[in-house]
Amino acid sequence: MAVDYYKVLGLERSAGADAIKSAYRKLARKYHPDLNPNDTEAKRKFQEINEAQEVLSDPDSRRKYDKYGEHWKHADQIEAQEKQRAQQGAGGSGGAFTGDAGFGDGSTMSEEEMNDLFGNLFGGRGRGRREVKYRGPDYRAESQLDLMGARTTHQQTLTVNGKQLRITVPAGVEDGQTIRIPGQGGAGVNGGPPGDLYLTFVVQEHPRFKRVGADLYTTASINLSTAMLGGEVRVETLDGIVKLKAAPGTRTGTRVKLKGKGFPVYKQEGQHGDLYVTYTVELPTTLTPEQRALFEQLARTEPQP
Amino acid sequence: MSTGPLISIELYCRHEELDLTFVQALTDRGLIHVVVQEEQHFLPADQVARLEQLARMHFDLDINLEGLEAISHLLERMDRMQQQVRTMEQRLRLYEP
Repeated sequence: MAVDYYKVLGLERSAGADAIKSAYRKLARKYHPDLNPNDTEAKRKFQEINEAQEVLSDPDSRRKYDKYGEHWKHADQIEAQEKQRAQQGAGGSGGAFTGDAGFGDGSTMSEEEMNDLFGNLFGGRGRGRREVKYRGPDYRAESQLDLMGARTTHQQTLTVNGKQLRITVPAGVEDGQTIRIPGQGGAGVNGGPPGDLYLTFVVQEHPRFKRVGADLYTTASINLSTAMLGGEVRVETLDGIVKLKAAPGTRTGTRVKLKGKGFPVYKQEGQHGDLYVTYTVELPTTLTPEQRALFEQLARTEPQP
Repeated sequence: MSTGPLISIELYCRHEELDLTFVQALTDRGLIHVVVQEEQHFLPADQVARLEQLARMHFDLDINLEGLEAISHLLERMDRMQQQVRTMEQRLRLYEP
């Protein structure tokens, strides 16, 4: 469905330049990406507001939009065709797009107002100049990593808008973390500086380890006799299998901490979080006759509740 | 603590056509950090994005310096809260099978 730029800015069709400027600023203050970091809905809304403002604040674009609605970008072609038809004696008003015609005639802005508007809204710092420098747009991209990949500092090649970019991903990046790569966004206009690239990491979950910051959590199963009598338990860590001693009487839910066996701390070389291992005591589901006899013997020694 | 290379504020302002008094006002309010070396003022590279953001808010959105101060505090708070939410989400995942 076509977007109504007047509705986007909450304006009447007869709104003047000042009203457009004021409506744009009011909405931009609400939806500007600087004020709504990581909010894609706000970003989408801001782009819509920006587009509406760009069209309506330019008298020529506005006139075309008022006349041709959503097809305003093709106004020159339509008008050329109409002119051609008129010259050929065909006459009539250009059929296909008349449905959107009939908007009120847009007010015009003086050159001074135009300079003021563009100078203030976009160039900001370049007041009074004819040619305003625009900073290039910021780009956003996502990079998928698995937990093991996020564990080490490594090089990654990304393709952003057709351009290959080699970046260093520091060890310890977190799921959802965004880093800014200056100057790797869109090119500036009229010699303006390029925008930045905001790269968000999506770190996949690991089947064995769950991560909270730089700490890792895992579980280890121990059999009933080891739980009761104590003994050795083999536990998987990021560096391989380690042997732990389980104390006699270990219960399900008992947690042990392996200091420094967690994840690397982001941008703090050599520092690691801890690994927490939670024991789960596995109860046998079937018993051999011998085990059954032993359990019955044990049961007779237990105090009755 | 700001890190990275230092950029002369005077040169930066000239290049970006930014008023020096605006940078000074932001510094006075503690919204950006500058480094002074031999009576020259420098902008650490990691402060450039922050300065650009504040300039956009001030010039493009017409937010005055008091507003920038209030917004900066709220954005910092929001950032901390987002970090807390992220940590809580990670902790909740520990209880999922």
